Amino acid sequence: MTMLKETDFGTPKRETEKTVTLVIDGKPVSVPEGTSVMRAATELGQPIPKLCATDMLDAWGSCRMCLVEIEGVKGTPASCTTPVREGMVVRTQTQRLERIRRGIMELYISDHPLDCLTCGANGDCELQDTAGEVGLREVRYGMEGESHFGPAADARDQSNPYFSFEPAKCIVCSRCVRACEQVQGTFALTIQGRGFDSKVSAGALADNFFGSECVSCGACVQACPTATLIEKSVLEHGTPSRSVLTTCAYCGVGCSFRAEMQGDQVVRMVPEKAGGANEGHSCVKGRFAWGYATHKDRVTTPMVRDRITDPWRPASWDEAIQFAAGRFKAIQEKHGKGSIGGITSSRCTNEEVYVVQKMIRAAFGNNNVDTCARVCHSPTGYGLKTTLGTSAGTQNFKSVEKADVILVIGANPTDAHPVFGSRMKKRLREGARLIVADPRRIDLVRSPHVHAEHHIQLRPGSNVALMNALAHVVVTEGLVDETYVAERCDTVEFDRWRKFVAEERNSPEALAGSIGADPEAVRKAARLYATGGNAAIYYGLGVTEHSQGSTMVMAMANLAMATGNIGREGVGINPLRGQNNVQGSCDMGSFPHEFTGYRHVSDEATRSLFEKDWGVTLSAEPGLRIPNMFAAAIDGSYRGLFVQGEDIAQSDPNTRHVQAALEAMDCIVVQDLFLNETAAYAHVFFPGTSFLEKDGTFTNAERRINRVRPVMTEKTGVAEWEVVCRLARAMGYDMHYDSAAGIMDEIARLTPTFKGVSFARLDAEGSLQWPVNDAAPNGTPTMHIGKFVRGKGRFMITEFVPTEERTSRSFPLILTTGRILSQYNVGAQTRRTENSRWHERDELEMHPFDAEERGLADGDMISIQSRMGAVTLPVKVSERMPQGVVYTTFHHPLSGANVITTDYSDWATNCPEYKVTAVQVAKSNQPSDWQRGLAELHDTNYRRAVVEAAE
Amino acid sequence: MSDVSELVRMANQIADFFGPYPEDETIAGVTQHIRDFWTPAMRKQMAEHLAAGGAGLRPLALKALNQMQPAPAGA
Repeated sequence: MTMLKETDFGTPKRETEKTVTLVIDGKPVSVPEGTSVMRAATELGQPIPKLCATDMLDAWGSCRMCLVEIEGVKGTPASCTTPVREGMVVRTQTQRLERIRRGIMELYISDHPLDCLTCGANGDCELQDTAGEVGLREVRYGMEGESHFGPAADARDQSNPYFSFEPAKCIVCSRCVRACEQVQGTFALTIQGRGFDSKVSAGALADNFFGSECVSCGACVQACPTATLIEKSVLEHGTPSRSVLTTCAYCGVGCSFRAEMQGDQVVRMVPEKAGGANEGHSCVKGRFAWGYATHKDRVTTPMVRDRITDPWRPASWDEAIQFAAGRFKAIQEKHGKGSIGGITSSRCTNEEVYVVQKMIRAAFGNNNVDTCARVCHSPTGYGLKTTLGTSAGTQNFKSVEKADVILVIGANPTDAHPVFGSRMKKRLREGARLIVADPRRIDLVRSPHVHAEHHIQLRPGSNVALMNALAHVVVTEGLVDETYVAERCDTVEFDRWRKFVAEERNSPEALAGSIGADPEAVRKAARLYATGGNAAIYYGLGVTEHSQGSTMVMAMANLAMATGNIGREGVGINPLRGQNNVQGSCDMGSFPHEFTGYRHVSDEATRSLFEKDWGVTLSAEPGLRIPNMFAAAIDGSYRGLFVQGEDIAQSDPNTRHVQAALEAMDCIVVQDLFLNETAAYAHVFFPGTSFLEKDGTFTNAERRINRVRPVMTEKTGVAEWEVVCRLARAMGYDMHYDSAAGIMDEIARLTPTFKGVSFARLDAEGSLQWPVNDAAPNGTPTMHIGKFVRGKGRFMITEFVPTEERTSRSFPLILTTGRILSQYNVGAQTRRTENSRWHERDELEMHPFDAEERGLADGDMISIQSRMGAVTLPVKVSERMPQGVVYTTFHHPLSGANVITTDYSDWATNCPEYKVTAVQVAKSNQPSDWQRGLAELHDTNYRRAVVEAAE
Repeated sequence: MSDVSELVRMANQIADFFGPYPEDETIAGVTQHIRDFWTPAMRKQMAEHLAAGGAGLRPLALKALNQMQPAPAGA
């Protein structure tokens, strides 16, 4: 399907409109100004031998293998560092060049072990290939002189779980060091020593890669032309024989990867250069942590049980589907049509999500469908739709390359969206200025060659106050882009907003007590944002997961509109989505009040379109949201739930409440890869498929629809969407598709913003960014150009209303939650990989003063208690935290971070307030009652399941 | 729905957001929001709570909710 190796043009592509024409080996070629001779020759189809050059890195000119002759130029310049000139005449192959190249190669090989046949890179080694290209036939210097291989070699470094470093094979081309700097931006690697002693080192203070600053993104491995840095999976299995282009199933960046295969076994995942979201870069999760797909914990047989205290019983697909349908129908007969519903998953494909919401609306006959975006980015949808007219981010990722000022708020891209984080850091190294608003000192605040000009260490819960303060400065200091506002925005709404934010109570000084930051820094940040050129806002769940999440999204839109920062490249409001298909699951009509394309169920025209196509009558009333479902379950009016690929028992707030709701239900169907925490309360388990088995599409944070292609057959024997269709049929609604492509055809038929989308087009064009319709046949990388989707931009008044969750003498600290690079969400995937070696347990980060006050030292076990519950965790004393604020992750179920979080939620969307919980922390020497209970639960439901399934 | 206090809190929060607008817009904003996002059962439960005095509802929320049309029967 895809070629195994992408063409390497040697140096990066130049993006200028001016072209230059030159002659290479007698053939004319036109390329953008600034292109290297090397790249021009490769584009002509006449590549030049090279070793230190690769097109993901700037030219370096050290290996001297790519020398060429240029008419009128003395000597033999390196083609990688020589830019093209108009009329230049280049010769890439002459007797002199041949002699020089062969001589250089002889020198390289005289210090390289000749174990090619048993080498891990055999068949995939640029040194080997280049030796072949230059016709190396002998090494006149012999192999006996001083060398870096053999007995004198430095030991192989196997510390990283995914790749090995063998210094004996290094040719010191610096490609790994440069990849770490230029692509990843971590600067973990260096060349240590000089001359013959030069060698690659993972930092002077570290013994090995694992102990170094290395974040295991894989860029160095990809850049290495030899077997020096190589995937352990390639060492173990050999080089791949075919590849399939697909999309990563971790975060909302949605990186394109080539799954490189032997038969139906994945050997490695390599980021695709042509991938619009990642352009050839990757992170430790997408690149390496795919082993969960074939983990022994995966359940591949359907299972049923009468009561959740019973052991699981393996069943055929027919039996399990009939069992589920029978129970759901019985519940509806007894308790009414609205007594069941379901939750779609942001980890599943658009097509899988679409069929689940269709099953609920058409077969269940109600709108009780919600999606896990409820608990992450639902405020983004509400806030951006209200102000701008569409529920999505405004830019593509590439846009950051044109940003002059970057405001990061409530996001930690280097951990949670690492590939985009690298792209942002690259722009920052080029000179863009950075404002970070975050209670924690995240890595972006200060890391190699990147620093935030302003770090506003605001108090959790004060986002809206900060935005109003920034807007106050913009309005009162005359920094509004009046022309832009007059042309593009509703002026009545603007005037009201201007008056509101100009009030003295919204000044940085008046709000300083709420924000907890220096008002002067706020003023400077506002001035920088408004006057520093193209200003772009990037945000994450630190914005949305608050009681004022939607208000905050609107406040950011207000600020961007007021300063003219929406509607072109380099600016905008950019939500960094948590999961791979958050955008897609929302687009697909997963919310209880909306059909696909964000159209309200009460809209007659839309509803009749669906009714006609689906052949059923549909409800015009909104259904239950996830938190409402739990409440209704506890009062007994809601008794059946279909859960697609989500672990609500771990990921949703106030775990005890969620558990009580789940326990109260008569039938829970879980469709997942693993028996997750929620499955402990389920009656039917439908085994799911991993992304390596799926055929479909994911839509990333930049609205980019990417293809997900199966590299192996379903381990369960059936596609997830087919299982859902069968359940719908068993419920009495005839739902049938021949393929995932057919589902997308239906989506396109019924959704104006997807009108031009089809698998055939995606296969031909790589990806498309919606809207793809008659007005934008090739998609829409940047939204709101010239005009907002809603017509006039709408300023909303964003009064700061503090959360009801307050600190007190009993609960004096604020807990906020987040993620870490190596783990992903509830950890169901990453905990089943070697990634856990970087993060074996969740910890509570705490400022040294707060720790000292409680007599706590690093590593002590502590009990963290809120008004909701308590858990025990180890403490990590950290100056990244401000005083009074503590922080933890929720990647491990036993940590139970959500036992502590509250029921408070966003006013508009009920997105939970994960980011603000009042807590107390004290030393402890035992797990909490809840943790003990969970351990017992594992001993019952889980153990039985495993025993039964194995029989 | 089990606990009407949860609905009361939600209604108060919605009214807090629309509160800074002129009163007619506040009322329209609150009622439209509840119509758009609350199920008929939730609206019905709130209507019953209102009929019983609407304890816990702050004045703006109370005023807006009192102007809401009843939820459709049987939904």
